[in-house]
Amino acid sequence: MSNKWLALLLALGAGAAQAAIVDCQPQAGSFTVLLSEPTGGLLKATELKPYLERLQFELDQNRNAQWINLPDTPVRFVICPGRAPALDGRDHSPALVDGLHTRRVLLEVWGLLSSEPGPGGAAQPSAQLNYLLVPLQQAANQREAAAGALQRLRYPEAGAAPVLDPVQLVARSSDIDAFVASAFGFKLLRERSFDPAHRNLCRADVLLAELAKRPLAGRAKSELEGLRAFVLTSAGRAISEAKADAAYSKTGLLRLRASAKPCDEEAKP
Amino acid sequence: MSGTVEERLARIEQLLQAKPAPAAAPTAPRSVLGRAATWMGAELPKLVAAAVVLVLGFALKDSVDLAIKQRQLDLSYTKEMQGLLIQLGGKGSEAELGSAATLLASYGEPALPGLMSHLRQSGMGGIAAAEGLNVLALREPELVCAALPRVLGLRQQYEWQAQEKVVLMLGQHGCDKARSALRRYRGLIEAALSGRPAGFEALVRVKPDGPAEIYPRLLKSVDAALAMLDE
Repeated sequence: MSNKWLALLLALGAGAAQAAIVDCQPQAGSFTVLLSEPTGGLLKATELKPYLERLQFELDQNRNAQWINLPDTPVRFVICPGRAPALDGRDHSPALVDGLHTRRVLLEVWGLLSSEPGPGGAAQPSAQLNYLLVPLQQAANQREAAAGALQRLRYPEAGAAPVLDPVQLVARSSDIDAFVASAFGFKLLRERSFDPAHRNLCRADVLLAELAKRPLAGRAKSELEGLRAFVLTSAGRAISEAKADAAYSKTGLLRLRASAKPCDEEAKP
Repeated sequence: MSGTVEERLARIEQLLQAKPAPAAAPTAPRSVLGRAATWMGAELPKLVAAAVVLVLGFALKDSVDLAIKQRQLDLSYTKEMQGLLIQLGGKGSEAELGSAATLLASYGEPALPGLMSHLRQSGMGGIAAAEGLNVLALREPELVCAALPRVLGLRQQYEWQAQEKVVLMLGQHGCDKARSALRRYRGLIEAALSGRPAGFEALVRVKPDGPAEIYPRLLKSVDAALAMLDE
């Protein structure tokens, strides 16, 4: 092996060594939400796995999800100990996102857990969470129209009562349901399952509207507005593509809907 | 003619004895080899056979030595590669998996089976193995071009994600001889899109989830690869 070749390999290795993200196996036969490790000084290294396990239990089993499940393919939360993507999302290369998308990962959640002074000066946990909506990011990587694939929110929200348990700080929120419904609806649209796609996208529209009532500002607000607009557009696409698809049932309910007002008749959850 | 038989025979003998003998042909000066051959007599074939065996032995010894050395090198490579292969199949970071695959590729042909095997992995391990094969193809395109088309024909060995990576690599590295394998694979996808997925499903290790998204995607990838080969 020539010295030049060896030098090239070492340079490649050194360049790649800056990223720090490990693989996480989604649950087979289901759609998956990955819960990756948070960074920040709030939790010690030994506390991270128990934190993720409690969070997974809360999200997966201890509450009613607000998205629309398929009868035979559930949405599952999977914890990823050791996986701590960069906060700015730079670790999610197109190849990595494609690897998640082809294994039906809908969402990856990670972020920063720290403490900040609360009312009375006592320290309380705070979080900045990142939500990567994988099907939307995949579409963006393929230069298709998509918006708001990476959402960032802070907890506790302004004016909310302090929460001392970092799991409850994150798990109590219905935000995750809004993002799951958005990603799930868009993924089902790509898989041409028009009815559940439409129902999830319209559900996402309602949940995102609730979320947008918070005092958000700056980029978080504009990203959320972009996502909501995209969700509505996608719901309209579900109707028009269903009507144009010869394989779609002649008695399918979407044939009665107008793509211009895709979610007007949806019942609020 | 008269006389007895005995008389007649006696006359013939006299005539024969009286006829002068033909002059001896002048002897040409004999070559060294000829003289040596004459000198060696019956031993000559044995000597020639021994010489042939010597020459052949010498030639064979060289090629056998070379083959043995090659095998020893392959064996030492295998031992050296073992750590990298374990790393590639482990839970390392994206950077660690990528480095392991790239370093594996630097071993050349001996790395091919390991990289092909790890291509079966879903997720980051499979991505890293594909990158390793890409690096190997930069050095030894014929080797990789000969090996990859089999992935599109083996039954229940690879998932569709790995097959798609192979399809794109065949196009990217200009593997002209893979056209027929690509066309066969395309035929199976087209059949699946037309509602006859049995052929394609028999080929892959796991049936694709969300086939209405997967089959058009695969068709697009195969067409892209064939277009690259036609450029």
